[in-house]
Amino acid sequence: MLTSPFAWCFQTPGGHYVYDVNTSGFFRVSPAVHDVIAVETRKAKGAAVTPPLVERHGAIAIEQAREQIREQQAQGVFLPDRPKALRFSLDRQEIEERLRSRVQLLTLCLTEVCNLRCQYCAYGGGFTDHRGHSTRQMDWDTARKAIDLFLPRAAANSEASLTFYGGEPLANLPLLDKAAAYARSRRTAGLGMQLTTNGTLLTARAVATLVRHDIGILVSLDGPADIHDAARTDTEGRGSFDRVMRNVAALHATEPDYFSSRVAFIVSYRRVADLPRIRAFFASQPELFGGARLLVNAVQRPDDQPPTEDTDPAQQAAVWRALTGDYVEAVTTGRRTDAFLTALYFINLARIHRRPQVPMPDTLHPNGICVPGVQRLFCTVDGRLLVCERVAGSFEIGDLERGVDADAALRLVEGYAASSVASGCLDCPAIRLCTACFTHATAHGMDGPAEVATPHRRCDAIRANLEHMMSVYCAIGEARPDALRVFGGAGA
Amino acid sequence: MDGMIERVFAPSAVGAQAATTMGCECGCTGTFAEKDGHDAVLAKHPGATSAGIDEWAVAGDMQSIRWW
Repeated sequence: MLTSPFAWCFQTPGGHYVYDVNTSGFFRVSPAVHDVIAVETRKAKGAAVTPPLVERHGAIAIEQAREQIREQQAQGVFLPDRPKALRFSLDRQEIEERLRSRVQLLTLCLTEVCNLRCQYCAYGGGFTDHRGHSTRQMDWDTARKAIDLFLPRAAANSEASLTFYGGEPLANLPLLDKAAAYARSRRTAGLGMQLTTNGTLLTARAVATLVRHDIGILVSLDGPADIHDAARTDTEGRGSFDRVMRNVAALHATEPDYFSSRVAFIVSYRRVADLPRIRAFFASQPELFGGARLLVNAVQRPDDQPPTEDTDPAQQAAVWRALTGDYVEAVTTGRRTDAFLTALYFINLARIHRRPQVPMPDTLHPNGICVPGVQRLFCTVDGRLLVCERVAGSFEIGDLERGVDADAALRLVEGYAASSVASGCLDCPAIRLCTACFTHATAHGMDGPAEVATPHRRCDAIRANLEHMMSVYCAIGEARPDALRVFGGAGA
Repeated sequence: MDGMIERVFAPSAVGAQAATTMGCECGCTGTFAEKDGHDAVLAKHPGATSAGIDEWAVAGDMQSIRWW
């Protein structure tokens, strides 16, 4: 009798692998072992399986595989054990302690005004619970109160971050200037500042403000003109590419030191099919983007739509094949990968590489969620405090008068954990690697018992992404194990 | 070969825990010296992961495909 392992089977160009959830280890296995475990895990889920295992491998091979799996199980590998609970690591008192002096990041929404009307904007009205376009601005009193609330509560951190968000934060330049100066006057060391911008309002005056206060910027730039302009348009429907590129080039010319150290770009792609051209665009202008840091994300799409707008699955797969092949080849031959490939793969692979490889405890932390109000805190234009800038407005955990309410934070994490269990997380082989968090959830009733709903609407996509990355990780390892060191440790 | 099972890319082999400190996703913001021991840290900090990963993970739309 073989008990069904809690495991995840996948392949690479050179082999068959099993990720054993209980040890968080990778095992290279024979095709027969791979197939036996794959079938057992499917059976454990109640799926009807009639695999041609014996026909494919022969009866003797299957029996040998089963015997080897049983031997491993006797040694504590490939066990069927599931975690018994998801529980947040900290109790109320521990959350409160962290809220008192270890808050890491505050984001101020300086304005809800934006001069663009990007098709995929979360504030465009297509997302449950997210606000629509608005003309509201934060006032100085609110910004000052938020900074006054934040800085003492970040005092125990050697580094704290103050970031600015919108709308388009440069649409409220006077408040940016005043808030940044005030924050610097109150904390002279260990305060990093940054903002996200659409790049169209990077005037000489705005640049002077950014440089004066050493505020780093993350510029939204989606690639070549036609791709960028297809989504990132102004209120008249005109594309913004030319304006952004003109401003970026001017910034590079006038402030080269600032540009090289404090400017990064974020790419939001709608179609996987566009990725090769986006990559080529950034590679084609080394003077501007050669040393730049890129972040690359698929656009956030409404719940009822597929993750991307691709219409041809075969083309989509071909793109991933080409990109992944390039990345694996570069890493295994010791070549430097371009910034675009690094953005797509490095963080995912580093997360896998740096996973805790210890026996699974009975109780796990609920996947990728933060400590609300501690790791990040978002202040709306009217002084409401939310979990972060990427969640819907329903994740309110305090205000500027009361600060963060530890009880609300605790209710939120407890509600999230309960909802995760109800969603089947305890039986999911991705449980120890999952990156889902509040941004995948909606919450209601935070003044009473929390109702956190549909926390994992993208589970299938997250699992597919993880499986792809595990395959890439093991492919690199089988070609050149020491190449995996690039994913480890600080400064890798 | 039919019953082959071999643990691969264990931490000691690929430097997975070579970092001198670990950060923790549970938000304690502490770092822990390697000498404290990974197990000991995890017992108190189930959200622990290695330091230096402070970015958003790439949105999970990459397909699980036969990419080679």
